[in-house]
Amino acid sequence: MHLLMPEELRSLFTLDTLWVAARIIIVLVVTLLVVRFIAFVTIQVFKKRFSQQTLMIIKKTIIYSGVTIAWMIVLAQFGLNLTALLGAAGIAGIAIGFAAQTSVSNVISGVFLISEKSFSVGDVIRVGAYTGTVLTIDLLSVKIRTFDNQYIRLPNETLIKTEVTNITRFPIRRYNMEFVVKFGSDLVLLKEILLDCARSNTNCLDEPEPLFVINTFGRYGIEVLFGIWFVKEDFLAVRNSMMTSVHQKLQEAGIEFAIAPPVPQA
Amino acid sequence: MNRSAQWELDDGVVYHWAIGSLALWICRTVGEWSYAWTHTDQLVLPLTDTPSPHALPPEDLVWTRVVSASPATGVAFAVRPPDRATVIKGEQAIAVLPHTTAELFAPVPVWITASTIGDKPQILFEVPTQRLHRRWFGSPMQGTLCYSVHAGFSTHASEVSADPVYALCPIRVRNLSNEPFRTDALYIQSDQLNLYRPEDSHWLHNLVTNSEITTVAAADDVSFAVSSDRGKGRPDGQLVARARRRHEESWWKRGYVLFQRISNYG
Repeated sequence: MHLLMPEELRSLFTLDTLWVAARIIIVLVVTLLVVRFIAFVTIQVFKKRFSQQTLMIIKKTIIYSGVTIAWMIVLAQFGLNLTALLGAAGIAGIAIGFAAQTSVSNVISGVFLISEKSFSVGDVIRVGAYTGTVLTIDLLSVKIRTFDNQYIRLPNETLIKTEVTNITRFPIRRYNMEFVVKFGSDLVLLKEILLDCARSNTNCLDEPEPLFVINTFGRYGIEVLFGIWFVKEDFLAVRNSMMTSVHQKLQEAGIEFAIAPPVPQA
Repeated sequence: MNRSAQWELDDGVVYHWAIGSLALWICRTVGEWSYAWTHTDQLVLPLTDTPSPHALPPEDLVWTRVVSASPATGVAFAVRPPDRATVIKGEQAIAVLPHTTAELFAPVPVWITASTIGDKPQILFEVPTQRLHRRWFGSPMQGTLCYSVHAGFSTHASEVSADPVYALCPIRVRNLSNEPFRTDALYIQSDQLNLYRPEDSHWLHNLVTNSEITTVAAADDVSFAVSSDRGKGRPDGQLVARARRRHEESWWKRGYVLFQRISNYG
């Protein structure tokens, strides 16, 4: 290995080389500051007009473009031929692409996810066993925060291949209460009680109207579905208040839930 | 009868108002205001706004605390139009015959704002005068959240049966088509409703909105839209509350929405 001699070291620290080094530092610092400033201003300007998802894409595009330009300027300061470098980068890209097929697949899947717009940042999605709020949609993965505050990273490729449910896509939702009442229950009274519970609950929407369906005569009793529409943000309030009031009112009216008989012990 | 709706409150004393079905409690201490409110099932008539001191709210009611730098010791009430659109649903549908203009009257719920008295009044809070139910206007995928009023509408102002704290809203329906126009619900936008009151009337009594809501049935397709010719039908009396204006959409936002429609993006 060739070691630099003190004389050679000294020759490196000429005014010219120091000036080049200073220019590089200035270029890097100024460019990064400018890029961050442009990103900040852009986000502030478009904050009320675009969704969080779009803002995130805009911000990342500005920052990545700025950093790329900064490095190109730095390399130009070193006297490197950028055309040749870009050509080499293309060839290297193909080689890296073969070596990192999974990552490339995730990147391409990420592009599809973003363009398809099945969900965006802030939506609540269900993917397999996970349900949570989308935190970011990145090139390689989507990060979600579950309701018990776990941070889950889902590779984009998985999301493209799997069934994804966007729970909060539409502004209103229907909460389906499904239960079984004993045979012989007064179904007219049951319907009236359920409708009354929905009417007196300010979280339930008057329109679309609640849905009352007698599903079937089941094995242990009459299976009933009662659907109430609500604004998506009120999910927990609607579920808890309706469960409480329906349980209370049915108890008062003497309508009993049917449950499966206990399994006889051997 | 209190026409100005202003009261001086002693330090640390809880005052209670029963305004229609609204039960309101306010307590003032130095630099802080506390309030609690609920809607009762009983309508307190005739309307009275005389506060009862030392009347404590139910224990399960939550107090909201507001810090104010104002040295004011008094509170003033004022009426306001609803903060979102209202759909008035009648018990029976009404049909407007071809080439006929119908003058209908519907009740619109009003809100109350409480603010400090002084040179620089500060709004402490605002509450609806009655328990308001909500409904969705539009398809489950896209629409508007509105208040739902089941008080009905009439062709005579005196026939509108509603709580006295509603404002009377005259609606003109012009059917320009060759078919009868049948409807059982009227959609009233809140951003067009100014509130008026006769000069010598109590601050909560005889509230009337402007009658600029004109529903027009188009010639062929019996579709209808709210007319934009504002300022017509200004009732007698003084203006007591201006309509809550929506944020005017900028040309940029309109252009972006148009782009979304054309490109199917978003």
